[in-house]
Amino acid sequence: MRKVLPWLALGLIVVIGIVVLVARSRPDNSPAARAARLEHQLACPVCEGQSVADSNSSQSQAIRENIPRQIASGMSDADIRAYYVARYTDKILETPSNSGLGVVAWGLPTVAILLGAAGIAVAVRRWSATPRLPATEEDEDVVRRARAHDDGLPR
Amino acid sequence: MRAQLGYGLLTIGTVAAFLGLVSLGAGIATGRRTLLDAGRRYVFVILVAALGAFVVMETALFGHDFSIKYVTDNVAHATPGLYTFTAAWGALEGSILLWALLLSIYVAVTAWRFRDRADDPLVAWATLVQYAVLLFFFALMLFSANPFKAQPGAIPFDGAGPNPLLQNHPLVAIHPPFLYAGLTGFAIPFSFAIAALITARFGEGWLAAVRRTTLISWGFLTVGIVLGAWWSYAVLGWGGFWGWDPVENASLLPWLTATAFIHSVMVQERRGMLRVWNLSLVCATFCLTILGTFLTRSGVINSVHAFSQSSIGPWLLTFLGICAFASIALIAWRGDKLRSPGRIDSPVSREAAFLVNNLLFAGFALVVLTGTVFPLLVEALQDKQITVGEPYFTRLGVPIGIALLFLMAVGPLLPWRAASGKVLRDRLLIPAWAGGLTFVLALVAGAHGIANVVAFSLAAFAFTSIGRTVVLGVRARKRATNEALPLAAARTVRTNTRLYGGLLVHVGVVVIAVALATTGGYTTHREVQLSPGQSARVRGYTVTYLGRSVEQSAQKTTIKARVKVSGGVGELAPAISTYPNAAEGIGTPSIHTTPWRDIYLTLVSSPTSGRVTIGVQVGTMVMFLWIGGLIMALGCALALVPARKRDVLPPSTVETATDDTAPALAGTSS
Amino acid sequence: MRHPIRWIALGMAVVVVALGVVLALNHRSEPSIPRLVQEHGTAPDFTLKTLDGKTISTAALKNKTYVVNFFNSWCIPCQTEEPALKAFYNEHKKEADFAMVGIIIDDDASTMRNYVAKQQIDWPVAVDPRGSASLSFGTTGQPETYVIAPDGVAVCGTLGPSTQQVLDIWLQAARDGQECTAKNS
Repeated sequence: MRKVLPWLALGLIVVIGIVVLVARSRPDNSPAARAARLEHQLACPVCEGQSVADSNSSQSQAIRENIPRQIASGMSDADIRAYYVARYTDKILETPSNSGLGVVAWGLPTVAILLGAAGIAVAVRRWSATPRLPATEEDEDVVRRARAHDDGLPR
Repeated sequence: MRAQLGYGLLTIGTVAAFLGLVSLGAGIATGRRTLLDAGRRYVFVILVAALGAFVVMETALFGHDFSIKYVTDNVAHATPGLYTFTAAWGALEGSILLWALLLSIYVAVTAWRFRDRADDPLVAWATLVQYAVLLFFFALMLFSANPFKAQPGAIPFDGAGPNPLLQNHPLVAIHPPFLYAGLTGFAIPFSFAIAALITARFGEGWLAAVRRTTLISWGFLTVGIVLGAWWSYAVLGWGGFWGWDPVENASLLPWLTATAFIHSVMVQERRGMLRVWNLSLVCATFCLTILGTFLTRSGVINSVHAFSQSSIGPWLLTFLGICAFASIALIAWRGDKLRSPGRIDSPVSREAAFLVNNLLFAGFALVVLTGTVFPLLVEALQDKQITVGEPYFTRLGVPIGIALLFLMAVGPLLPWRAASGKVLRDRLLIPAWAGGLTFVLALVAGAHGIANVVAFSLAAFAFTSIGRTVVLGVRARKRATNEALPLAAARTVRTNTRLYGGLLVHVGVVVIAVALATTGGYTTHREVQLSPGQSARVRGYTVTYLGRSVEQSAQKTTIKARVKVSGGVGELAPAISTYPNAAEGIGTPSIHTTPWRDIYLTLVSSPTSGRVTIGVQVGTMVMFLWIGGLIMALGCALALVPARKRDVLPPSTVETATDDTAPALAGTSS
Repeated sequence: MRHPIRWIALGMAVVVVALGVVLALNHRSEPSIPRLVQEHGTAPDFTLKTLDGKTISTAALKNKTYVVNFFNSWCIPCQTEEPALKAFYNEHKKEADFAMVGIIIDDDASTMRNYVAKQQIDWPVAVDPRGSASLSFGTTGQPETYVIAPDGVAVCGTLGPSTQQVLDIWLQAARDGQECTAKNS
């Protein structure tokens, strides 16, 4: 019991900490946080590979000025995204959609990793389960006799 | 004249590669030693040819020989010396020339290292494969991407000069060469893997042959990638250091598989297992370098890195197909006979940890590959364009990263074969408490973001676990030999450079992980519009716009905005430079770096009417990204130092310790 | 399963072939027709101030066939198409149901005033300080030209410079309610 006590104490601290952390990490829905999130979810329409948040192009600046106004006018995050998709097609979204072909993008690596983990678990379980051959009396005899005669072989 | 000389040297290289291929092939078929020896020697002809062609290119660039199209496109009279030199690899054809040169160096060094084993079929086949790869790249230059192509029409008086992004910062002199030195090197392990499959030499001979080259290439690639991130941050001016740009991903993919290999190779050395998997990893790494070359140069993907479109795409794609199919076919042919009867004894063992490590690295490589290729797939199937950007990679990658951080903490403490609960509990107790206390401290200090706090805690866990391993190793030696502490420490490390080099690399990775958490979670970015004399306040710093200044040189015109920042930062000057041959200006950020804080200013709009828009970014612990990279490089270098076996203590002189036996004593790596 | 590695290798080969096909077939083609025109969408409304201080709005352009041209003073193709636009405007400016509006994109008012004066551009040029017009049109660069029919639908247009000939054809198509056939090369 004494050996396990420090671990129990540690576990308790970690659990309390996780509760605090999760409570603190609730998503921020203030207008400023929403604007920042949206700016990272939209790709700059004229640049190569930058988000609206990162790009200095005039188009991105215009979008950055427009989003707070759209938030203030009561549009939801989804509405705002849809507004830009209607004008710039799907390629203004920084991630593939959750439906249609986009499922492949999200699903393929996830499923592959889960399958791999399952495969490793199964293989290791199978290996551990096969019993090692136990030494028989004969085997023990052989070893005893060999040890009795010192042939100069290392023990 | 120069063009002909350069092209002639490339032709010599191509012919030599072909002749080498043929004579080695004949030598292997007939077994004649003379053929094998002769076949080997062509390697040095190729090296001289590549070096010569490179020198000719440089003299053409410095001599402003505008009769060569490449020179006209990439240098101008006004181009400074350094950027004239780096123009040699600034555009497509030159980059292939640099690639061929670095590859020739690797092949020549390998041929020299194995000169005494020239009649070994393994070495002969490996050299043959190396000739095939060299032949491809030289032929590519001869027929598709000739760096010495003549300038059509009249010879112009001045050239276009380098792309403005490539004459902006001296880093262009080291980032591409380091990157290429890493990527080209993987051809050597690949050639030995193919040779092992062909000759059915399934023992560990091929592994030993290529271990050092793989590690050297990995080291170069790591430094190249970190330098690329630094360039993105310090030069490109968008405030970030990794954009998940397809070309960046192309360099990351082989790095991931190579890292997986470096770990799983230890399982093969110790237990003889995972032979097919290791062969597959090595072949995959090489194929991924060719895929990366294709993506960068074929015009398939638009990127700030991409070279201009050219006809080189089909060549690269075909070569990629050949390499991929050859690897797959050989593994399919030999693979099932290769499988070893080894087994993992316990899920709580270092072998199992390496298995999970490989799963995570391969998984992350799949994430990066899917994200990079998916837009192409959608465009091919649905004819619409989509973007796969940072949120995709982060959402899938962060959990993998956290799991890897955990493995890095626990892995070195796990014994081989099997661990008893008691051993684990004893070894893990202090590091786990370090992690737990850091968790609490982070929460108390107000940290937010689940991933960030978990990362900090696991980092402390990992640091403590690594520190424990080192301390125990040095202490055990000190007790046995009574040497002074520094000497004991130095000798402990010298007897097992592989272990301690690896631990140092892990330290570097953990430092980078912490820096990723702090920069990702605790960076503030604001844009402020200021008239001269006006100030704004961003996260505790007062930013005052003083005025603008203009500098003109033959190379470029630079407009700077002078900004004073409070808090001891001083005056910063973000700028926009316009080059004569480019339409848009290139922004240059102005950065004040301290270990804790980075103040990063950019000029968003050109200050014409007095008012100026300045981007102010305050980042936390950005410097540790680069420090972590440096530590990784040092660790890799340490791992490459040969271990000094004569300092190893014979086991009998050491008092048998408890389960906490320091692993460094016997000299065998743990 | 016997020979598991052979099966895995076969699977990998299939994946590699698929990847190769995707990479081989892919070609980046730059679109030349704006998305709004491709979808025959209704042109968005705007109310903007011109460089002379007057106001121009789509309300006043109802029932006219009008041309919207996004441009600025520094983009090279904009300068290339300037003479074509001038000739086109001079040809049609007397017609009652015709209008043409230039909208500044990514440039400041004083530079544009100098440019407009130097180039002797007579059609109204509007300032779009917040980029709202360019955002609602969905522009991705400059120059971009839109020809809008009397019913408000954007029927023809191009990304990049245009010629007088093509603009004439588009204007006629918009008036007749025909499809846009002429394309800029």
